[in-house]
Amino acid sequence: MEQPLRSYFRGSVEDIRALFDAVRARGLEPVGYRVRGDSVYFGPLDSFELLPLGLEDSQAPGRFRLYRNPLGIFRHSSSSPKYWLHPPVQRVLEVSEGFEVEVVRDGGPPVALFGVKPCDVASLEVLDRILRNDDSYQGRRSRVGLVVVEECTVPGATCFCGSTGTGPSISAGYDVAYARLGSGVVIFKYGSKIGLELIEELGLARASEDEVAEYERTMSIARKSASHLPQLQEVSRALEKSVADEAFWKEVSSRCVGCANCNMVCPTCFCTEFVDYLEPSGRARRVRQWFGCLSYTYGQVAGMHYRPELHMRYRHFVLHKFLFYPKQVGLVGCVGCGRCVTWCPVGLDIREVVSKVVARYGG
Amino acid sequence: MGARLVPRVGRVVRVVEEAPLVRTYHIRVGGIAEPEPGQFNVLYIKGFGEVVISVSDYSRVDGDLVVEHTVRAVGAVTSYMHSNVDVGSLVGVRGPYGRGWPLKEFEGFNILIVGGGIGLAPLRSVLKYVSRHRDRYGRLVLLYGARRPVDMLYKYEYGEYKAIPNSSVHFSIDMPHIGWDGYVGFVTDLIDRVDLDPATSVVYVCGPEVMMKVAAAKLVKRGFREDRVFLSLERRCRCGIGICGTCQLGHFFVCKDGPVFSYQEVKEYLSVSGL
Repeated sequence: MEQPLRSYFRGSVEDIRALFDAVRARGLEPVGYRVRGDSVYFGPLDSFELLPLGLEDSQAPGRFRLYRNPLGIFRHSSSSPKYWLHPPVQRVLEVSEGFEVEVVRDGGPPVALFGVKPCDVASLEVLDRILRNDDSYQGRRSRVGLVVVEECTVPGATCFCGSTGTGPSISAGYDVAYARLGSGVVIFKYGSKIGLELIEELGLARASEDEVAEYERTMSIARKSASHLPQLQEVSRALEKSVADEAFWKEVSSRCVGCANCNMVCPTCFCTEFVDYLEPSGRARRVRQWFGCLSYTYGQVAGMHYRPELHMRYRHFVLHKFLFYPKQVGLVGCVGCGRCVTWCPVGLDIREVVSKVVARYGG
Repeated sequence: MGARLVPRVGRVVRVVEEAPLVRTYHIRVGGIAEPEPGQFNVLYIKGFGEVVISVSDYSRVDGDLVVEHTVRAVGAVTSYMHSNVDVGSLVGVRGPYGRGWPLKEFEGFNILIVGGGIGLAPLRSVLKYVSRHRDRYGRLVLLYGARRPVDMLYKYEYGEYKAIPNSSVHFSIDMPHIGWDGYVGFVTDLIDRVDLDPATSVVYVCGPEVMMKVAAAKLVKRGFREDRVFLSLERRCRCGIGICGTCQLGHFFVCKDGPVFSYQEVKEYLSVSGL
């Protein structure tokens, strides 16, 4: 649902800076995509200059490059809000020599997610539901006081949020959103009362009819360019029929090397494994870390393995996103960000796999 | 990190040698709720890790619980337990977790229990529960099979099981054995001899997965309803509360949605290998 004309505002990149400052003035620490050396990851934004506003990424199956381009659009990096909300390594327990269990506390100030993408916001909804009993996640999630979104005016080559209905524009789950148009104009909109307050603080003018038209044209083209999947209901129906076809799953996963990169970069992959450390003194530490269904040990227990073959684990990855996630939390687990395509070392493309499933089992 | 992954510290008060590589640990622990039959606890061995083990029985002692966990030494943590955890040892306990055997829903029904090997552990809680509430159920039939006589669990309690009014107990072993005059073959063979009316009976099954699949298929063929045949499943359970994701079976989290499922719920998933 698009907002009425009068609720679009116009500004420039300098107004994004003003928004950044206004967010900080409210006592919220911005967290988002930040430049680190020659790369970008997801973490605390100590200054506005850390935002990847002068960078443009180029993504393709198995390929990611960053370029300097003042007018370029940065889509996303290998990390996502998951990296901050559900960190790769989490301390669980500290246990003394005498078996006194110390609860590990993980507190901190309230934060604002700043410059995150519509697909990121969609991934939060999924994580919020699947990790509702996760005290670590919920503790960090409760610190998120504000969500500022950058809409993707030019989606990347591996993006398919238009198909999953999770982008490239946003209509809910945010406070302020901005879109950088090719002309250099930045269109702002609000999704909450606090968002409106912030926009008023910035003193932004209403966008003209022409500017809104340009914005809508841009987003419509963006949506079309990020649509590479069959219809989602058709996908889940076809997947349901494909489950027992081992030959098919062997064929589509034949290039997979089982590295679990897709799991690590996926903004909705949430699985974790526990690791124990014992010091010579008798002190022990228990840590929880990301784990993925493409890893060999996923499904392995003492004495046997419930998913011994790689194609079984790859099948779980695809089925979980499109078939099991909806049954578990009422949402499709794939947000169409394309990270699993970009960061796959062999460029295995889930869009192709899903299309093959529909070609074989659809209709 | 909040409290849900933090164990209470308990102490082992008794160890029963059940069978080769199988011991039952009695752990006294405070601050945990009374388990329902078929639920499990997560036991933490300091520095080595956690294991998900069903509660086979429990008792109350001065406000604490003594939970009984039958553990087979098969992985790193359980092997360490067998060689290092004894009476007096400290063990972390989280739980009880999971959906256990549906017993209250089936009051008035006959009960058939089918156990294989270590799978008798979660079923023991059913036997105990039914004998404590004997008037609420009809006939009770126990079928239990192990590889060898020596592998059978809770041998010291069989007299107690046989003494439950209106019940019958049948054992099997996989291979002939000197001194064994009972049935030789798979425990699922014994299903043919059960004389319960499927229309008024509920079945609880636990054992190796292949045995449970054979049992369930056989039971259904004999007229038992798919939604009245219950299986206790195992997967790679770690957290016990549905957040680590590694125990998924289709869209189910075995730890949170199970470990007990009706055959009707999981039949499709179990029919696909590696799901």
